[in-house]
Amino acid sequence: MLIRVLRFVLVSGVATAVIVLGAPLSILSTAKVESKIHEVSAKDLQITCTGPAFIAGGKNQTSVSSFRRVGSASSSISYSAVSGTSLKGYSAKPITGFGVRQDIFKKLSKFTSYTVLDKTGKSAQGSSLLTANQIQLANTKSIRGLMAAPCLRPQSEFWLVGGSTAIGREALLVLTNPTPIDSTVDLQIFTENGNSTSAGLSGIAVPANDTTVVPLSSFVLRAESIVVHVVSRGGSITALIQQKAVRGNSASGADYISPAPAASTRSILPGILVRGSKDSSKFRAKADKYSDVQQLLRVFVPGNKDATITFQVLGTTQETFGTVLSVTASAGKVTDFEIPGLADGDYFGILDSDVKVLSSVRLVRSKTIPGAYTDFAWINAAEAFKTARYIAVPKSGISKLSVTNPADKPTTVSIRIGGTTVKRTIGAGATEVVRATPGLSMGVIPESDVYANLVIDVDGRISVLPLLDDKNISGRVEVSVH
Amino acid sequence: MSMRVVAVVVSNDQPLYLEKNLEALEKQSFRIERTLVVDSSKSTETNSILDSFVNQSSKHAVLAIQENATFAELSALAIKQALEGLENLDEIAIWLVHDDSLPEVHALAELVRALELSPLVAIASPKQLGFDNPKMIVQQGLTVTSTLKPFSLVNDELDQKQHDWMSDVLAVTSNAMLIRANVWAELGGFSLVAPELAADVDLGIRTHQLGYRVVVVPTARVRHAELSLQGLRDKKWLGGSVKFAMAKATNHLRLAHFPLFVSFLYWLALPLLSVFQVATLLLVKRPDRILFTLRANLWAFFTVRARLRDRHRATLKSLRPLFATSTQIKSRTRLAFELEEQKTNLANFQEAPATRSNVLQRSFASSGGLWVMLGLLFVSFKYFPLGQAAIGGFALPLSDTWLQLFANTGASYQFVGLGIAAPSDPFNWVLLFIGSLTFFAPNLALSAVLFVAMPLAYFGAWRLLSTVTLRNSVKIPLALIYVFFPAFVLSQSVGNYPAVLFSITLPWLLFALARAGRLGVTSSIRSNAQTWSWIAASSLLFAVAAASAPSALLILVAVAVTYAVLSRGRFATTAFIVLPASALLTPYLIHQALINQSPLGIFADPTISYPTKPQSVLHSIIGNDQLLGWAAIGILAIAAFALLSKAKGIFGLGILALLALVNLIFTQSIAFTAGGTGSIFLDSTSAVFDSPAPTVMFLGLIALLGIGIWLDSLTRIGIRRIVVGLAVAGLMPLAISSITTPTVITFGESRNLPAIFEAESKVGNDLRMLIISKRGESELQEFRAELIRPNGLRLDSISTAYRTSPQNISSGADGSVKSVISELVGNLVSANGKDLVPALKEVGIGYVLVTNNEGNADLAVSLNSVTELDQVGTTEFGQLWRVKASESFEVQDQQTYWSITKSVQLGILFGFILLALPTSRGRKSRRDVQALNEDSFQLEQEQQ
Repeated sequence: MLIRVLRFVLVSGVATAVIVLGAPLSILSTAKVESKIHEVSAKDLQITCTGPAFIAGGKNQTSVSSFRRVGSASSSISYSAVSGTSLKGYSAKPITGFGVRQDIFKKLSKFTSYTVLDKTGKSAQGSSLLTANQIQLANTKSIRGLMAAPCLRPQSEFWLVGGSTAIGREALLVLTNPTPIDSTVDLQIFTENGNSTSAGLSGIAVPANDTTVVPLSSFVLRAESIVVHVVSRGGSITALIQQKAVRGNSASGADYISPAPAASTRSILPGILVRGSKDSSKFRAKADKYSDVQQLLRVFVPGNKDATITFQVLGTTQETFGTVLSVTASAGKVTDFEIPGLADGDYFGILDSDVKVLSSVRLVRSKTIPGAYTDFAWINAAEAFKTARYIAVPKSGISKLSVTNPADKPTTVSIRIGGTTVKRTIGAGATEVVRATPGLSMGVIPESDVYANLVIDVDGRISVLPLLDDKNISGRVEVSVH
Repeated sequence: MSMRVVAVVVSNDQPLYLEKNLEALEKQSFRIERTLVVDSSKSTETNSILDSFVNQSSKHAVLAIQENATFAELSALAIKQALEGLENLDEIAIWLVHDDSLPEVHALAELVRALELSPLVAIASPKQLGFDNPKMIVQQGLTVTSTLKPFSLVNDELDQKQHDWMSDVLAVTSNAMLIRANVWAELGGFSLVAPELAADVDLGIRTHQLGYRVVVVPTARVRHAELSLQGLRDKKWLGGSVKFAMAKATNHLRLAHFPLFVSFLYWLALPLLSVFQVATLLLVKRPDRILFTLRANLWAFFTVRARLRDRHRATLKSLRPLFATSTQIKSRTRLAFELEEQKTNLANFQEAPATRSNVLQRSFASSGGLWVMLGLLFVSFKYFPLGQAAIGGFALPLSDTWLQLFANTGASYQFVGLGIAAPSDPFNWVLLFIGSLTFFAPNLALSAVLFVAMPLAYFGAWRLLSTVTLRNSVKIPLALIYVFFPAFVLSQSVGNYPAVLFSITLPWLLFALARAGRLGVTSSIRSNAQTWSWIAASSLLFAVAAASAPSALLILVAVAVTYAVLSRGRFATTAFIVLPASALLTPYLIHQALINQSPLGIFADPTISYPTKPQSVLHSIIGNDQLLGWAAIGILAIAAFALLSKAKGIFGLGILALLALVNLIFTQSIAFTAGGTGSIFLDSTSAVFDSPAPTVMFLGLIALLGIGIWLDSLTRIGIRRIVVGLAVAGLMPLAISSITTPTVITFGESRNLPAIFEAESKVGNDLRMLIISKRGESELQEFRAELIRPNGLRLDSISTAYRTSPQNISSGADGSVKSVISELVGNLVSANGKDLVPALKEVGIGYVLVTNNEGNADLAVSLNSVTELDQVGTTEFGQLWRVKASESFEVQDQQTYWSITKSVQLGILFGFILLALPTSRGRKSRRDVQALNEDSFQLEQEQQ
């Protein structure tokens, strides 16, 4: 018996120890796959501005099958003019680079592409080489408001988080194909009711060197909340949503919704600069048609798991007090959350979610008297960056750069405006708002990850531009072949 | 006319027998005129006996031969010497006596009488009796079958005078043969080129052809030790083993006595005949005869000139009445078979005293096993093969055609990725076997594996448990626990075919080993044929297990060693059992260890490099469902308590369980190279790890065996009921967990690459596809590329050797194909306008695919700008482009279906399959008859 007890103790003791404590030892491995590094030259960097706004065609501007452009847009271009490169698209002949950054402007009557020609293909691409945006202050019976959008590098996939096709709201999807290859676009449209299964979402033709305008109301009529997923085949395209509001008989508010970055569990939204909050309240109290004159958080949850979200709206100064939303967003649907109680001031948003989400904020600005107006802007979650990013600043209006450091340590950013560089220290979890010089591009050179948006105010109307860093694949490319 | 007799004794190193032999000669009632002993002994022990013999009489003489000489040479020399000086040979007879025989007093007198009675009788032979047991007839006349196999007319039969009617025979043994001297002279003695055991028959045939008779004289009795046939003499005496000598004798008789044309055909057909004979011997479970049969055939093939020298003009037609009849052959076979069965039963009884063969045991069907299997099929409804193939997780489809599957199996060159001269995965042999079950659609059988996995594993576990307990109340719940073990269920859900097949095979393997080693509480072995069947079945199952789960190789080695020890040191049998596994694995293991220089790579389980993480022992056992999986731990805990029982074998099982745990930690500690074919779709960029399932299933089975042994040994019914109740309580959560475990796989088309690519490959276009995907964070410009050949993304074309080879691992030297591809990818993703056609042509790329993985949008943008490509569109696998100039590319993969290694492997497997096929005991098939007559002179000796 003693022997049996001993062998029980021995075997079960060792087995228990191994089962409870046994864990793999990370000491053995077979060889790892090696990569080969190549220095490759890049395709010339091209960005495309979408051009002036569209209004419905026809006699009464009610046709949904034809659209025409209205007015002109003003594009602002920041070109580094690196030696050995030239800028095509600005004028009949390319502008040759001589090593001095060029801030140039051009009126647009149609979509326009700017291309940096680089014979060597060795110049570092990105916003430091070329960046551009366009603004248009529309002021017609059909459309009123400041519309700003970045000029985009043609791509094959976009997520557009914003827009509405409710009564009095018009959302036009503007698809531009600047390439010589025809493109076919498939759409996925998500609303507060989930994924739209309307006919015609696939196979939308975007001819080469042309623009196709698609009214989203033809797919999702009277949808309050929209997120659009655009996928193209064939030639690469750019995509924007042109959103406008018509309150009663008069247009009141317009903006472009530009592509959002990939879904994430943490999103930073700088540039929530609230002004005229009291006037907005007055508008809302006045009539239902102004019910959407309110700051708003829009969230889309891809996948099939609901998102538990905490959205902090934080003031940039000690005088501004933000708010916190703790909400749940349904999976596969677009959900809007109003952000109430924000007094005038500069804010930024930090969104944390347990699953990856796409998010944006609608910013409104109003004035009751004199010359009453109300306008809105859609602010996308910003991209993190730690290398230099440039943005062209329009000549008109007041532009403010909002730079956020969400980290728990302060960081320093160098901001280059024209030939001047200023350094700013941004506290942990804080935002620095820097006023831009009209017509002079701004470069942001951070020491650690920061997020930034440029807020543009033209005659009280607002729009927000992201700091993008468009570049083609080049330079050091690592390839592992199997 | 009275005969005079000259005796010739042939002596060879048997002093004890010789002494008695000479005494017996002296006591013969018939006077021997002269006795000559021809002695070829190497030792000097016979000298004193022979000296004394010579001194006894002047009629005695000794002829000592020092050189190596055959029996025919010795007898020829001795008879010549003995007859020297004698006149009138017509009156003289020669009595040729072996030294290991003991003639009774009147033996010679009876033989002489036979010669005197009929002048046509040239040779007379006595009844050969057992040396130690003279009641047994060991031989009484020789003949041949219709195919000229030597056949002993009487063999090891109790002497009841039942054969005393015999007279004329075809031939007789040379021992105690009395032959007329003149006939001897006419015949020229024994043939000097015939093998020893053919010489007697040859002499008899030639005697008949001269018109004489050969008779046996039952009243003449000689005891004969048959040392040569017993294998108790130096092997040189017969020119090898008895079996070899018999096989040579058969071949000699055929080549020398068949009609010339038939002889020639026989000689030509010997190689083919060898293959047929080997197959037949395997089928009748006589692998012990293969080697000497092959040797004898080779001997005959290369010494045909000597055989032809023994040919004579006369035919055998007139001698056919003296040939063995079919009745005689059948009777002999039945006798031999019964003798064999008796011996096996005796061996069973002696070797396994603990078995309870007399205990009534309910069969699987009568214990409701079929209903349980049906229930398990219902539980496995998720895996009902609704499509052509299972896809997802680890699961990949097989090649669409059996021929392609066959080509990929055992191949020495892998048409995968960049191509590699390396053995294909041994697991491909398992896939070939499964695919062959539905050869018209190989994927069908593979898909069905997941559906029938649980019932098959249950059946195996039930059979295995039946070796440790007879109680159904124990076997059924324990076998069910085995199939609901989390590791098994998880393997099924992710389509991990190797782990599933290992789990099915494991209980069958242990059961077959128990049967082969006559282990366990019951034994159904009744013949050597059955033993061989189980040994071969064990071998094949061992090969399946080893090929399916190299991660369990160490455990399988431990199982083999344990088997050798438990089966009373049958190391030769153990070596035989691991032979097929060795044949399949050795080339692969050598390649991994020496050429790939990746010794740890031998433990990499086959199939695609699925992204996995190392798992702790606890997590490996409880699986994904943390709550329900704890039931598995409970079962192991119950097994631990079994260690307190008195039952035998529990402690050994405990040690095996500990070994399994160690193996689990060991294999989970190895980070294997990721990548290889198909991994780009899974984004397995970092290291991958073996599935813990095979080791955990072994651990679980060992634990269940321990519980089974313990419960069977319990005398208190109450305790048994409690433990069975606990086991059933553990069964419930495990069963629920198995039903609720979500599956990763789906059933659908067997296609797993864009249709246009596969369609082109089906019409013979071997253009390759380059698949590109971005890896790592978006800020970094790191890309993976994979070259896919037609039919390259199939389970049977996945190569583990390729995964750990320099082709996959190294970055590629400048100028190499890999470097060309690497640079091509760089230029493609940057779309920088460089001329890509030369690189595309060199590699033979017809299509470029960008996967749907996250972060690949930019890649698509770049490729849209590449002028060498035409966008085909979006497929379910990603965006596809066609290379415009690919129509001018000439790419052809010359895949071969055979290699030397493959032939050897296939031969071994085929042999073991033949050996494993059960043959009916009751039916005395013709094959049995033929095989058992191979050496019918000494059936008893064969049992060794």
